[in-house]
Amino acid sequence: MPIAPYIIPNSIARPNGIGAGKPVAQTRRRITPNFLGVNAPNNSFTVPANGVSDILTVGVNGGGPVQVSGMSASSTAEALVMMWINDGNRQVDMFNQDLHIGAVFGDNLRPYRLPETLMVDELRRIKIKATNISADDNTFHFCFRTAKNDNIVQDPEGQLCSKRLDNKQRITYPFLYGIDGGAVTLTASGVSENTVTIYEDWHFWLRQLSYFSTGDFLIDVIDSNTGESILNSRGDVHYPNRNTLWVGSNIFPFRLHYPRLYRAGQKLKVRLTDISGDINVVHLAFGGTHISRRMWREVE
Amino acid sequence: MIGVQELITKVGDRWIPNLSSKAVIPYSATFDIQNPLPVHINAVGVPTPPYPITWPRLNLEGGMEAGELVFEDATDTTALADWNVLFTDSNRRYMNFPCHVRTICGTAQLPGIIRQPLWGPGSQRLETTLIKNAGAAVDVRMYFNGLAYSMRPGDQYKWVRERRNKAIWAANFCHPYWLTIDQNVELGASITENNFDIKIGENLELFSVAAVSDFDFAYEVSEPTLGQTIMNGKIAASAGIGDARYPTIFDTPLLLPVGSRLRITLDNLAASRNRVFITFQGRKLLVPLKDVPPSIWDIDTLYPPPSSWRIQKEGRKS
Repeated sequence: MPIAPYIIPNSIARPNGIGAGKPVAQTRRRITPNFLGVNAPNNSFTVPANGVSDILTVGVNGGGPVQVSGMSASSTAEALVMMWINDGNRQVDMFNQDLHIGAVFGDNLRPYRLPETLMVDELRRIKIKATNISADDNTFHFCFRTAKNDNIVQDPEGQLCSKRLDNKQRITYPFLYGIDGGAVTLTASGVSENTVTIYEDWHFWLRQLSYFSTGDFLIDVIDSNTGESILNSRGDVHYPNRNTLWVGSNIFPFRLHYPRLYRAGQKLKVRLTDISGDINVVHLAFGGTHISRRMWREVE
Repeated sequence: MIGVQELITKVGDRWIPNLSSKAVIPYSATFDIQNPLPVHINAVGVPTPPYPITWPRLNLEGGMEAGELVFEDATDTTALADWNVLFTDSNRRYMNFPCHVRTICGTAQLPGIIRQPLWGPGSQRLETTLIKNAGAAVDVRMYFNGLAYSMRPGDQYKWVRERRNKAIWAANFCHPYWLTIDQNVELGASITENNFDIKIGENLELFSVAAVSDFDFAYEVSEPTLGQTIMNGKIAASAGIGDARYPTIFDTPLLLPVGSRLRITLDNLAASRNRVFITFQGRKLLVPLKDVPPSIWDIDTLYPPPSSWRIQKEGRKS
């Protein structure tokens, strides 16, 4: 099995640096900051109690592509969010299921940094659906922070960047896993064994973790093939860690010092133990990179 | 940023302090006043005399690199401070109009970062004009934090001298700049499509945006002369714009050449009157774009480079 590089090409800059060999100001004019909202009027929509929104679109109007690096949202109550990427020909998930907005979207001050940048252009768009899990109306605003590469017809370099990004996104893209079956409800001081199943068509490079819960808990993540804990050495002795020490939040996800690869179809065992002494609803998000299994076969 | 290797030197098996670290010290600069802080800002409509700040000249070769702004408002509390600040000196203006203090200054734990450090030559004065935009008179404190140089002409502190010379050299080509709307904006209840245009008189490069307001609002930033927009629609402030402590850092700097125009469109999302203050932070380029030296464009020279720019750099390695 070849070892893939740790750093995945995620820049719209040329390999030898922004502006190398060419006036920098020209490059600066082509690459600009950009912010994306959803296509609802005024980027604002309200979902009634326990209701589900329409599937909304996030895309650029002309130019592009853009690279999405951060996601933030405001909502007036708790909600679950599901996201897909649609390029007209195919639609792929960005989450394996609906994830809690408080685990995967930051706020206006500190956006949730995606584990890897995501390319969006006129043809390739993000689809998003919000499910209100509160008993009140819920008003949403979304904001995606990006850098935009204006694709100028007479600019072969810009077209090259665009092509490179397009190729790359067919090989890797950011992905977030939640626990199979959604949120886990722990009884007071209860223990729960759960799984996260990696998709069959993609390997997964785990890069960061975040959570939203109603109380504190202990967590242990175990490779179901080897029995090895991500927290401890080999063997059956796993000492779980506390959520406040090892799992970050939506605004400060816990970033692993080195990404950990899980193969396609593999299962992770996630053991959760409540330490709040009360019923505890836990939403987890495992952020990382999906790597096309097909690409790996070609490399092999 | 200063690396450890610049503060200690290995001699044989031992590490000893590098004496050159005496030639540069952390420094906080505040107003030139006879009495201890705070200083007084008069109520709305009553002008307050400008307070000068004199950059330190601790030795013959002095000066200061200011990288942070912090403030405290004893009367209104820091979170509700309502006054604007304007920085000028004898030949430069660092803002187009006075900026709201909470869009440029932070607090000790979360200071307002000046991403292009402000070079202040020793003994030179920076005029600071403080203006209340609402409410009664207040007493305030404000500091620039950064590095002060303390060298004599014969000193052989190589890296300190190089760093100081670089700061002086860079100040010939650019200086920090804050860009804001040229008036106090108060949106009527549920009013939409308020356009505010800012003419760009010199080349600017913007790094971040910050805002404070009474209630939530939606905003869109565009450049109408080129038909360029940096948003696909209006973004709600509650999801998409921070304040001085956590500004919304652009994923890549926004270059605005001379002659362009920045249009900010605001919608009031509240059912009551809403005061909005928006400030862009960046730097002014003092020479034509073609004459800007390449190293000025190097984003790593900024203080500190935002994490998203580091991602771009990592990407280039592969």
